[in-house]
Amino acid sequence: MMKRLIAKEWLELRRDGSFWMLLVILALLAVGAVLGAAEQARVQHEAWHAASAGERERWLQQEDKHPHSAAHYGLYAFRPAAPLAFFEPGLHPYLPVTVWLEAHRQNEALYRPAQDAGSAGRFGQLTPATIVTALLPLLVVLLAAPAIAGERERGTLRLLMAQGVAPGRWVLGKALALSVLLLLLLLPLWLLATAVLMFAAAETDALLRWLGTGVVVSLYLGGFLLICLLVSACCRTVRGALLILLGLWALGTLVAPRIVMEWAEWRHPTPTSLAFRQAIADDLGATAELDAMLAQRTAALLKEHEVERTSDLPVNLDGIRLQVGEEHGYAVFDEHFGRLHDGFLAQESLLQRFGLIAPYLAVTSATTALAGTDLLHYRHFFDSAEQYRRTIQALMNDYITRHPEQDGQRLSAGADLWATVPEFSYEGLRVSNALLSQASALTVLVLWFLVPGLGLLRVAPRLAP
Amino acid sequence: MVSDLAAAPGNSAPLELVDLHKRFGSQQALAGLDLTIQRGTCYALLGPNGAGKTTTLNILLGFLTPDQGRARIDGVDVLADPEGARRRLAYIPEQVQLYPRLTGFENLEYFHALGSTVAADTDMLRDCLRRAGLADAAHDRRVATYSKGMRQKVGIAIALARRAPVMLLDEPTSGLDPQAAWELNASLRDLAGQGITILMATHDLFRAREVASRIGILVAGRLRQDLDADSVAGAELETLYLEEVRQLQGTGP
Repeated sequence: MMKRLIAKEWLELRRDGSFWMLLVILALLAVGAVLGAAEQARVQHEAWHAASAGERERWLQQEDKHPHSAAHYGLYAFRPAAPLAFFEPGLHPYLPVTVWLEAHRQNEALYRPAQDAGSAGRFGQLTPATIVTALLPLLVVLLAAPAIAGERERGTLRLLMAQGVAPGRWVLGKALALSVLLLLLLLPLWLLATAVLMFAAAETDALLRWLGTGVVVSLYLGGFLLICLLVSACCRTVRGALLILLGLWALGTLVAPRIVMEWAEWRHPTPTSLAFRQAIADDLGATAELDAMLAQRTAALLKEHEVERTSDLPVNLDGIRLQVGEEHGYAVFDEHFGRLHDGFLAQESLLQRFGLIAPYLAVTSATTALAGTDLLHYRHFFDSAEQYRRTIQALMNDYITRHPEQDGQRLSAGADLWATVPEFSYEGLRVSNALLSQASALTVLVLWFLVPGLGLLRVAPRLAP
Repeated sequence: MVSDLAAAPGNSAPLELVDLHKRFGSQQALAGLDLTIQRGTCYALLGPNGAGKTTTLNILLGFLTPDQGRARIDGVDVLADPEGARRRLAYIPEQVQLYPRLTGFENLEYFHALGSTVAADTDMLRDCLRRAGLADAAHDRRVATYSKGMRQKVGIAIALARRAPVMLLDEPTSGLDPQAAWELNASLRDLAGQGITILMATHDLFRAREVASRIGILVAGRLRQDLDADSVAGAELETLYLEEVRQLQGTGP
């Protein structure tokens, strides 16, 4: 029965000109989006590679100078593009790709790729993920809305049931037939995207992320298909089913996400850029704590070297002062940036949970996390860059500490010291971290699939002709 | 061609309706309908619109549940086992609706594969289409290009292919041209001769008398007359029918 149902559904679709027209448009959009995004990702990767190498070269080639001047000379850390960014750019275009690392300050990151979008940016991005999660459900609606309501409206359902066809099995057959058709239609796009991925980064982590993305998208589209069939089973006409489903699609994909996002920002407000900088400056300006830290460290040194005056210390106290100053700043930066990022993550967490109302939020959150283009991954990069900055400061200050100035001659270091600073090598988050951060979204997606499935199992055997 | 089911009569009559009642809101569609149809009988159930003909068929198909009474098809209780009962009947609706993008043959093949327990090969199915009066040239044309009569013929072929012991027909000649209607009637007589039990709901007195061996007049959900078709002339049948309807409406002749 299932085989016959699938064959019949396929035959009908094959002879439906409007379906093919829609499919060709979607396929062209999808292929264009995948290839365009892949090319963009390649350009970004090359730019990242060139910029990182150039920056390293600039650091190594700097002239001889005082190590603290080198710490101020600073350097940029560049965020690499995530391997799945070609499929789901997520927040990548809107989050900075570089951060300026220098002494005393943890700078906010700089330069967003969206700044390069030009006037085309105002139309939004048509990414492969948008096509799959926002537009493809429309195809599912057009395919599945008439699946049962159409047969009822046409009268073929009555004739089928009069033949003794068990409605439960028939509906299950319909669901399977449409699932197989959807899979067949998605397969070429999936293979194309896999080829792009393999070409760009054939790492296990990236492949696992891609596999996870496939599961997440399947759950979402599967849930959408089941809801379409459930509505179709309950409606007397195709028009009624289409109206309900298109309304649900628009509400879930266009309206609800914006409302929930606004609400999340209201619920977990983050400071303005100006207020944020001012708060950091205020805390850094409070020197009482810094003075206490310095006095404590100096006392410890005097005791350690069994001397009474700092001038008798065998170390350069300037290095100690600089390092203590840095450490005082670390606590301030950690607190403020931590609070800022926690606020963003709290908003993100709320969006995941509201996926129950608008599963588009849940699927977008999950695909973005799996693509490595979400806030969590960005924060990980930002924290890694800060750790790198702290490593540089520690190396420079340690060198100063170990080299007391002699005869009032200003300390100077050269290429040997610059080379002790390791190259910034960013190790991204693992797929397991991404999955853990998406527990709510994944739960929502499983429910999104199961609830309409159970509803359909309940409705199907009682189907009215 | 006689079905295995038809060839193996059970103890009970193939079609049995006992004290059927059905009400829709304030309207009493069936008010104690009793009807037993013996094997090989072609029974025409005559009645005006709203008499309860379609309600009767819907109960037999298991699409409606009676408020009271019972219905059995070939010994199977429709209420207790609607799918089992459906497996023992073939049904031709007034408007046969098919899949327009499939050909007539593909439609027949699909409905048969999904609904029938009887295996069928291509030759057998094409033979059913021919027996239903559909020309060979039309078998492999898409149904979208068919006339209403041609769709009706595919519906008849679907019913024939089932080889069920009981056939239900709802205004079967509606939309058929006179030649096709004549051929259908001949087919029905032939099927009845092979032991198939046929219940045909219609308000076409002429066709009813032409094809049926028994005729019932259903008015306001009750069987008012149960006649032997051979013992009643055409004019007499018309008079009886109009009398029953007028009595109900409270107007004399």
